[in-house]
Amino acid sequence: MKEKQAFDRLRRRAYLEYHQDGVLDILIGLCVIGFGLNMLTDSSALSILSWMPIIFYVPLKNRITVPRFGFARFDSDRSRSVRVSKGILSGVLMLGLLIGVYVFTVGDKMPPAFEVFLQKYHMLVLGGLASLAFVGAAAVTGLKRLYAYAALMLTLIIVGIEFGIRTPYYVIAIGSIMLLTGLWLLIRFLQNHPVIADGTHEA
Amino acid sequence: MKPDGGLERDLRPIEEIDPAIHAPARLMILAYLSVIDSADFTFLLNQTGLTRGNLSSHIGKLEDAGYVKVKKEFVERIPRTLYRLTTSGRKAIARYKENMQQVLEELLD
Repeated sequence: MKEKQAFDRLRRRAYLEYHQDGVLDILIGLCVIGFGLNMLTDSSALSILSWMPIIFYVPLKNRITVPRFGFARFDSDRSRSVRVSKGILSGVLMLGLLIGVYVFTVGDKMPPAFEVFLQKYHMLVLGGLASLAFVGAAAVTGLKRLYAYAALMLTLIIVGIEFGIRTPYYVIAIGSIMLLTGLWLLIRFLQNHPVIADGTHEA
Repeated sequence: MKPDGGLERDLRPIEEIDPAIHAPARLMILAYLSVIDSADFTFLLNQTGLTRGNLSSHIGKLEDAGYVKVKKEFVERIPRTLYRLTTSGRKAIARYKENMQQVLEELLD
């Protein structure tokens, strides 16, 4: 049992170190800022562009993380937790989809109380779903700061609604906090892990 | 020494300790490879803290023993060499653990 715990710690430490480069935080932060700017400007181009940063995840990992930290595949021993977390994420997406389909199909025939609730608290619903997605992602990756992002998102949305702050401003604030956290992590990562030239061992 | 030759018999597992695993550096490499699916040279270099030459030499010995398998692949046209523990490598670690436990129990009793 102790041996298994020690091996789990070893795997967990290596896994977490591999994801302490801030790349994920920067890209999610940029997406959230893009989403906020889209709300502010009502630009259709931004609504597409705001999702674009995510496609840079793998190329950035290959350019920044792998030459410095090396490459490792972790999936085989994490299959159970990954399955559970993927279940949470799928549930959140399904819930979001169902709410969207309901609002879209019911339209004007929506119960007045629900319509009022959505008009006033639509961001809370969206933020709640996004927070659940963060919790799912935190469970998949084991990155505790994703739990903090989930809490931060809900807190800022509640504060925004309470104090009547315009939605795009607190969305941009949430994205900026993620982006800054990511940049800080990236700078620390680059300082701690200089490039190791020719990391390939020819056996 | 026991008159019936018991000491020799009790410490026989020492002879069975696998020298390919017993070196601390190689044990460390195997420990890392046993908790992940596969890793490249740079990752092992970072995790173990060994020098490039040392790591290369120890991996070579583990490959010769059949405990580590090398897989080469291309990512964005850049070659990547991945190391993975073989089934016999896993069995060897389990055997090593049993032998070491036995030896320590006999010595410390």
